[in-house]
Amino acid sequence: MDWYKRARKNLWALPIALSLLTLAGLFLALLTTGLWHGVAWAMLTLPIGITGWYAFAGRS
Amino acid sequence: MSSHARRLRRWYVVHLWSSLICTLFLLLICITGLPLVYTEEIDHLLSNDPPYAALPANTPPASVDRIVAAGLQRYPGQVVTSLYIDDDAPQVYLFMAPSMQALREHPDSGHYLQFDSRTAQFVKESDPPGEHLPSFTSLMFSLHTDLFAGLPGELFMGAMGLLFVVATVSGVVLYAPFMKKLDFGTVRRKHGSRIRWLDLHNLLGIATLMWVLIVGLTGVLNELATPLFGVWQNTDINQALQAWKDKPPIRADQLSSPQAAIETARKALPEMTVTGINYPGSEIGSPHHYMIWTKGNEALTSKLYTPVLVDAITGQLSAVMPMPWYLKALELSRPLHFGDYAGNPLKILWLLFDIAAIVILGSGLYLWFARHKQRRARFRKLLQPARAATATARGIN
Repeated sequence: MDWYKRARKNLWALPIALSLLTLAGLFLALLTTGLWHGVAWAMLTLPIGITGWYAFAGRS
Repeated sequence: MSSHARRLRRWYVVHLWSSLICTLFLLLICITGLPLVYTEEIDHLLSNDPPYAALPANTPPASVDRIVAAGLQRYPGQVVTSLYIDDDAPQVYLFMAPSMQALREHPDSGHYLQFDSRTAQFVKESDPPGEHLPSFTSLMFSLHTDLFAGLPGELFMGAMGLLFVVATVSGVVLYAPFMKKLDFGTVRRKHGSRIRWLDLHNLLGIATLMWVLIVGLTGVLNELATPLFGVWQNTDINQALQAWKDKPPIRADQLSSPQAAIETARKALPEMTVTGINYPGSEIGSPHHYMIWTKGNEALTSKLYTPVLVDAITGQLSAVMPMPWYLKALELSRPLHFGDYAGNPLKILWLLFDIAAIVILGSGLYLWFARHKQRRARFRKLLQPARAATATARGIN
């Protein structure tokens, strides 16, 4: 996961990625039905999951 | 100080004061928001309504005329003010009051009756005014939206929401200097609790940024619902009502069939679902028309309403009233704020994001206290030699 390590070092890479993911997830859920909702849930789980990971489990 | 440092310092002051002013209200909003995500489920759990009558799934709805007649029979001399047709459950709510004017002057004089939409059977009604205890969720809702103060309360909470958006944006600007030398997600755990909470505040703030911004901004828009509908009433609707301006006020015995008015609206907008009627004289609507509310049937269009004005005496279609852009924005801001538009998993995510927001607010408050304490301690230390010197000088004299 070299790219991820590099992304963590970049000040704005992950903040922008997580923001875009949230935005896309919120609107995907609004514009679609059925299976697409699952995709939206997954997209929105990422920002909250990553937050939880670093807040509770991350050792740094 | 370099100009860059001066600029950051200014952003810091903006972040500090915008958050200090709004934090306690935002904490109240976020905490009451938790149960509100599950309003429907909680209401259902706490209610002792009889279950819906078991009827075949394709039972057609009863005529609304029968429901209105049943309401007027129970409350002779009163008027129907509006009617709501649930598209989720087989129920129709009939709202009544002594008169339209009484309702405007004393909102408490309004009450509702619930009917089975398929049989037009009476199910239950609201408690009489005075004996009416607010439900748990309506208490939470008032604390969340207007602090029991009506429109002024809504505008105040809207202003707090706007300050919160300012605090969020200024927080993003400050993220850079704090995190310049740290990897994303770094939480320094061995440098004391202030540093640990500072890192957590930055992490939670930046990772949930977009959710917080969208729910914050849509919350502000929701608080503006009353003035926005007022603008629409005073512009587009009044424009459409020019031809009726000088007509005498309508009498109750002149009202044509509300069911026929619904059919007229359906014919005009066959692809829409009818969800309710504002009776003539409602605050939003017309003194001479039924305002029939319709909405679309797809994911997005089911959030967008198009009212239809039907002449309440002749029963003829007068106008289809597409919503202006600011009300469309308001309608879309509702689901985006409530999180109730994509099943239970989205509601759970809403709770988690909301809890993250509570931690951001709480840690921000803690950081301010901790900094304050630290600064005072430093100040005291600086003053110590001076104090000692004065004490010695006093001793000598």
